[in-house]
Amino acid sequence: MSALLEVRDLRVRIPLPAGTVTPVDGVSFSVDCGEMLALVGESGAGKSLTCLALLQLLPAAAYLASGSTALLGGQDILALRGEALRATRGKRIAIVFQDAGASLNPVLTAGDQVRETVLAHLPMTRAEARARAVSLLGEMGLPEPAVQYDRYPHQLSGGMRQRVMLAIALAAEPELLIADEPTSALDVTVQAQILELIDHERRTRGLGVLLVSHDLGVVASRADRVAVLYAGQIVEQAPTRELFGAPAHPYTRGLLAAIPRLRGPFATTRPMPGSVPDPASWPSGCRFAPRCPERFARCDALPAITQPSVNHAVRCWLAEGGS
Amino acid sequence: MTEPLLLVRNLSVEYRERPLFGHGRRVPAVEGVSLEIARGETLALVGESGSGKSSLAQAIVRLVDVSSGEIRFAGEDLLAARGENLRRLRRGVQIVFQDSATALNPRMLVGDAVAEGLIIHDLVAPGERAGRVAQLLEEVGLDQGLAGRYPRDLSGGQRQRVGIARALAVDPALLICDEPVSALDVSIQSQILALLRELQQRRGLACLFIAHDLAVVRQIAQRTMVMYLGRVVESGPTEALLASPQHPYTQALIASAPDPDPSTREAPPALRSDLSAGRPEAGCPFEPRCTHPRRDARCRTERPELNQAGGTSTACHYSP
Repeated sequence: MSALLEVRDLRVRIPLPAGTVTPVDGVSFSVDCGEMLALVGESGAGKSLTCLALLQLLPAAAYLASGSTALLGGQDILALRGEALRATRGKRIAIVFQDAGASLNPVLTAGDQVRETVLAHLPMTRAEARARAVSLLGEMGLPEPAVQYDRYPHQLSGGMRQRVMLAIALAAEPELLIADEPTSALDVTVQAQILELIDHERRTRGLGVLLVSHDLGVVASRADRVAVLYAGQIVEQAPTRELFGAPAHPYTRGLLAAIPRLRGPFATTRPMPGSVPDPASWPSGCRFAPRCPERFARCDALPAITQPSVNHAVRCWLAEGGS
Repeated sequence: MTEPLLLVRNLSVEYRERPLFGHGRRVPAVEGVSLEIARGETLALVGESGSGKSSLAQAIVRLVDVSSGEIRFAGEDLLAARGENLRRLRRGVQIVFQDSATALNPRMLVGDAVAEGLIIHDLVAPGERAGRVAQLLEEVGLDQGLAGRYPRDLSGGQRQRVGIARALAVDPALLICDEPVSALDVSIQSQILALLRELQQRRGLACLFIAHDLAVVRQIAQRTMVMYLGRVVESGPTEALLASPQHPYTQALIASAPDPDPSTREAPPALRSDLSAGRPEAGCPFEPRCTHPRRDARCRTERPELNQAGGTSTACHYSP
């Protein structure tokens, strides 16, 4: 069986006065039906551009390099244009962003924005679409959905706005949901609720989920697999338990050591120095090498991808077995 | 016993709604909160958005008006202070905000932003200012060269370091950190927490640390107070509070924290809805969201007061 989403060699280029940069540089991954893949990395890693590229929502200056493909149920969604693109976006593949306040239309009520999506994709009358919108808002945990329907985004809390965003995204029962840091701006209590809503859709109707986060801790108990992105490249990809149990890339180990833990004996987190460099100054060898505590001579060359085990891929010379 | 560095007693802050017509209702943001911070100590304030954490912090630096209560800093009445006296006291209490992008003036060079406090409080001669700024930037782990850059040229983590350098410039005794790491990547969060710990040790700084994430709080605070709708519902030594939380709200906050362990499967969310669930006129503020098995009519009519038992205090009729 082939995957629901199959992304191959995704490259996003942005021409700048000083030369063209490639902030997403050959990213490949897949998401199955009913599977949650977490895409994890720091700001500047290329996570959001990856999401936007899949929906053809890249900023005007950016473009996809030839050879980039993303098959959704076998169809290349990067090649869709016009009506076919409109019929796919929102219907088969949907997205929620971090900042629900900026994503919602401030002059339309919450409910009307949900109804709009229902009407755009499902054969329903306006009254039917309204009823469906109310029930969606209820399913997303909005108390008194019929009342909340008429509220404007500014009258809702951040968590409530994200629930509305989720109702819009799930309105047409898409096959794939891209969730780009959906809970990073929210309280931990609301974060748990929002993630559970997404997970519920995954379990009950086989929704495929690409969950993007900077926090490995958030994805640990939810994602089936994790892909770690650094400087435009996936540096490690593995089933979640294996990634946490036997992280093979020093960057993954650094991210894990930075998570503050609530359970178990107290230990201070170990900060990883530095941050993701600007795409214009990525080294030609291993891109993590300048921050890597374990770098050695070989790191001047870009590491090949090796597989410590069947489903585990890592881009590091150390993982090659005997350095 | 020596007087604590900061003493807050029975503090209340309220805002008035400003409707288009008629009189606005008074909305309490902070209700009868008392706390103490000793020199060099870190106290964390924890709660969801809307719990009153930031209002309390802003009241302490006199950015919002207090409706009743008392604030004493280093033995002096902070609320009665005016003019030159207030300016002097404010030097001792500095604040670092969550959103470093809006906290810094976008048209001001980083170096000038850090020097502002030095100028206002006339701390160093003009000729020595640049040197002092360079020293401060170095202390927070920034390259001196950044003094000549604008905030937009900096990453979120770097801007937060600038915010800290700005606060340190006037050599405060108390640093109020209002969600200083909530907007940052986990990796950068860890760097800033390490920096704050280091500064506290080196300078003997006291800190009021505001956050919604208990795992972050555990990294830095000796004591923790949990707030719900403007009231303190539980407080105690951080490790004791995490090991045996008494208040159902504290328990729910702990249960809501994501577990960075893939071998646990996530339990159903511990709390429904958020603070917009409602503000009861009487009784326990947490009652509408509470799942305590003994929750009853008393919770809807009688407001629970903070009761001390062991090292911690809890405001719940049925806990501990």
